[in-house]
Amino acid sequence: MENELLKIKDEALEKIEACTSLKELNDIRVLYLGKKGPIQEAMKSMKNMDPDQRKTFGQTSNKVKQELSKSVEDKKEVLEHQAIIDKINSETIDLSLPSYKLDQGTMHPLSIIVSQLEELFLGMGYQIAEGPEVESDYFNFELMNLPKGHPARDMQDTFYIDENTLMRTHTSPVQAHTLLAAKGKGPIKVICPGKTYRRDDDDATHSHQFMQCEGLVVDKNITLADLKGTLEVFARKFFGEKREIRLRPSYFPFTEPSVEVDISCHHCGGKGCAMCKGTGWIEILGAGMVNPKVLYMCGFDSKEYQGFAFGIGIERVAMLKYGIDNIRDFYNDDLRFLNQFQREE
Amino acid sequence: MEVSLNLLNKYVKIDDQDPKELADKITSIGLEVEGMHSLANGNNMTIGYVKECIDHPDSDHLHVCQVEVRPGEVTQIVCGAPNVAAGQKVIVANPGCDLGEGFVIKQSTIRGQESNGMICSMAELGLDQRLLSPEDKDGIHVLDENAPVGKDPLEYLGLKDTILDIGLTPNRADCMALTSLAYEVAAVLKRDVNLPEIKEKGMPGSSIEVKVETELCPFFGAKLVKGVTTKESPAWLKTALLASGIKPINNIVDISNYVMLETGQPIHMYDYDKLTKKEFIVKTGFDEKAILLDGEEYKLEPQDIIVSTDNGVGCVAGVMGADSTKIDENTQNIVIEVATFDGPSLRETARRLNLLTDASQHYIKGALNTANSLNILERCANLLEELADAKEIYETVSTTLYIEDKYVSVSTQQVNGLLGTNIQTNEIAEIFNSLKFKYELKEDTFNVKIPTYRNDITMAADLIEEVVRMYGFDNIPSTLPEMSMTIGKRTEIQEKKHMMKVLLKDLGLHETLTYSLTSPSLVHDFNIFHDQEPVKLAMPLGEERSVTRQSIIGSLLQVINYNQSRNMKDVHLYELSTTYSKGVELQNLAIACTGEYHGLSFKQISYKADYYLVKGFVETIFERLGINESRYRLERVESDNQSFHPGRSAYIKVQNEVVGVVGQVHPLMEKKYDVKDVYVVELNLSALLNIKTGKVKYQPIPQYPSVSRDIALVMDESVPANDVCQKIIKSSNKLVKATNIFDVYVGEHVEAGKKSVAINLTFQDDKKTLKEQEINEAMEKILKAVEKDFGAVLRG
Repeated sequence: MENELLKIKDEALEKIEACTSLKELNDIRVLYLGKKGPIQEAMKSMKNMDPDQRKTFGQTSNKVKQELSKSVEDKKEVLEHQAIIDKINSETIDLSLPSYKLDQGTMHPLSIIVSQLEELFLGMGYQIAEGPEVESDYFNFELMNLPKGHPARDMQDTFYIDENTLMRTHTSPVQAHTLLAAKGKGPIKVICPGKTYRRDDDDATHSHQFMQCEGLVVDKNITLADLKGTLEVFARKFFGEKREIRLRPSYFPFTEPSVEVDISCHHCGGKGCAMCKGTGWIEILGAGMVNPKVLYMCGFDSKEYQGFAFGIGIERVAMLKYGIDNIRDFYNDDLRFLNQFQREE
Repeated sequence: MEVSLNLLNKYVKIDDQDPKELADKITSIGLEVEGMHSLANGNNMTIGYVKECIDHPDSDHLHVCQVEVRPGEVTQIVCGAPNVAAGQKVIVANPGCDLGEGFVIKQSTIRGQESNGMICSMAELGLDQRLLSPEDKDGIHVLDENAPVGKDPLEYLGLKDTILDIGLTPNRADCMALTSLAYEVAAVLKRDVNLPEIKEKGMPGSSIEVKVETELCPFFGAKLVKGVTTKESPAWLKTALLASGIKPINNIVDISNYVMLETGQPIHMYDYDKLTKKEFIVKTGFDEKAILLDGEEYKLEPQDIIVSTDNGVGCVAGVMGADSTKIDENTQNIVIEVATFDGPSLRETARRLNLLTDASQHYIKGALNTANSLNILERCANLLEELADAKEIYETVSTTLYIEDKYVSVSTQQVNGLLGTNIQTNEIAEIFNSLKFKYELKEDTFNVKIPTYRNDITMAADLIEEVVRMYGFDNIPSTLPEMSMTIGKRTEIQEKKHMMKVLLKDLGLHETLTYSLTSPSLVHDFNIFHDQEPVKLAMPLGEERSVTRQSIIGSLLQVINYNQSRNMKDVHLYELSTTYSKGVELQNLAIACTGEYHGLSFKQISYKADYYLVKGFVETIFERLGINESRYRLERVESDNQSFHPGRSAYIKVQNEVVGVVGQVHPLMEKKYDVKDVYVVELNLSALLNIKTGKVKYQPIPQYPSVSRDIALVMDESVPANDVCQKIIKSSNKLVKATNIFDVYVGEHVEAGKKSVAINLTFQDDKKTLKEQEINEAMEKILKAVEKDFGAVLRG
């Protein structure tokens, strides 16, 4: 009896060993270890045996049963592992196919410049002031020391709405709004970015609508040297650590003295190239010490207070920084243009 | 302004200066040299003598000339000019001569005849064609017989000159006068100024009278000069005018132009013999037509300043004289006018008549030095005597000339206090000396007498500017302001606006910047926030940009059209900009989307812009602004709305105020703007950003498990499914925390006019684990409530 059992065991082990699929393995398990399998059958015959014989046979058959069960389990492990390996081998994909990338939006390059200016000047303790775009002649011109008939009004051909109202020609009137709101008391430290308008036909270098950023600092001891230092910080932040600035005398009715500010060319480093027309310098903005008449008209005692102001052309900065040569590009909003400003530098 | 260095040299010695270096110095003191060029081109040129001139054997217009180009050196030159002849002294461009723009003279053979150079006209030297006489344009220039053969003809003619193009700032119009410019150049070179010597002359008995009847003429002076001869000006004067960009006419006209160049004062001359009454009255109030000296008829208005003669228009003051009083080649007796007229008033007249003449520009820009008026009259008379053989010069007749001495004080401390420098008192004194300013110095305070030509200096800051431009801006140190502390921070609204730009960018939208000005035919489209009329420009550049916009959507549709016509079909845009009506400026945010928003083509995944996409943007924005969904609601637009698709668009309302709109562009509008399937949002940020929002407050995480149930409800198609969901939450004894519509079905097995909405309900109790029975009870209540309110029943 025992021998027969061992023979069945060997036969089963051989089949388990040769088996190649989980289903086959399960069939083998049912065939040998199932209720109607030979081991179970053999164990049924035990009840007719004498106690001693029953004991030995019982031990043997249990052993066989355990051995076969373990063998099935082991084989199952091997086959399952193999199944995963086989599955992996059938699951290779083309890694080069396109991704489910969410298309990035962009901020307008002029917005990028404005926001960088804001970050720079906020960091230096400036606040951001705003004013209306449909402005009164009084704020746009008179308070900026450009009385009616002033020849410099010709410099800024204006979109008038009626005799006293116009589309602001510069962000400078925000200076007046800010000063008046402060009621004669400093310190004032603001920048005023915004849209401005002039009666110019649009071409590669002119746009009837454009953006400026005004800066205004007023307190008791503000000097031209402070203006120079401040603009140096701006030039280096925007155009690189090595930039120098140069002030040239100029004229704006709302500042006295007035200066044009050049930066050393960021393209050639000042040696002279096409971008700086061989001069090594690029004109970047206008600035000056706030005209005492402006301070006075806006309710400040010009004997006690003085300050500086500057006006940055946003388009100009963007054109220089990114090498854009047509101002109209900013207002066409061609996606092939906008898409180039995915990241802020 | 074009300045001849040869001419400037008459007033300040500069002929020892390198023109480029001089230009840099002039620029450094605020007179920007924007360009410089040689007056005439050509090197390797000589004065030649035409010894022989015969017709070219093979041409009907060429000549073959034997020309002595250097003493004793005769060479053959073929010349095509009709006026070339033997015995002439001419300008010869020898081989190798570069006449500019790549035109280099070479030895050549012209129709078989050797030619070793070119005989030149004035035009060929590169002089401005408009300034040349017809003879100088068409034929070679013939020099006088004394011209020395072999010498440089440009030098001989005074054409070896450099022209500076100076861009004057509006405060320094005085530098339109060469004398004023000379003071600047003298200051930078630390030299003296040479003013012309003026001999005062004037016989008594002038028969003319002057009268001023308007405040717009502070000074009017006239001087009678008799017995002049009109002729060609001498070469030096013609060259001086040519070099200054003025066309020489005859000696009389040339003198008035020359004096204007020198002094900045426009000169007008009347033919004395054409006047009956010999009386000049400056006044306004003419409302009539007049023929001016260009032969054209102009309509005058009462505000125009007129110099009236014989009760008529003698001259439109400072702009142009009348035809009836003009001098001509027969004029013998002249009345010279030197006057000051109000610039702004004159500007209006000149602009209206479209006569922005050189003279009027001098008045408009303020080039005049009125205090010098009497001298200028003498200067004219002197020149008329010298160059036009004037016989009798009468004394000047004028209104009273008020000259007030102007003083401005500034101290060394003020200078350094404004500039942030440490300039010494003696350095400042030196600067004022170089500018020829007279001053009195007490301790460190200068009381400066302002020269009459410097109208721009009225206060201490102006004198400080004089100091700094001469001291040099390069010498100013760089510092940062030392001042009371200020906090650099955006306001809450600015912060929200900034955040929104970043958010929308991250959502995959492209920010645009479009024009605020639009066309009246588009301005009312999509406007939902403005009740007032749009702002209209008085003088727009064109109809297309003549009013300020009231909505940004139209502009975005134009951008979509622009991009789609360039083959970019999927366009997703946003813009934050101002919109306007009379007295109102609003900050708007607009979004416009069309085409695929997200997708992966090879997997056939594609989400195309639709109402739910843009509604999602609205919800994200509100969420980010901290405006809870219970605080706003969507309300379908009117069924006859013209801008938005009535079936697919909603107003966004906070309380009862419309703060925005979301939906599809009305198909008729899509047709108007030539776009298709565009979904848009426009929000009134001015209103939205001012809504108060609560602070972020922590809620404990639920401790007990939630239970999920799905139901399908059948209801009329017109019932808003979300209203049903809201009802479910409200009627659930606070047990349903969330609902999610996961299917909406219309069709087979559902009655016509009805829809089946499948909703997932999340039950949760904060205090305990829910029992089956509690859920069933709540469910029963919910079903009763939705049936009662919406006629919604469980799908059988």
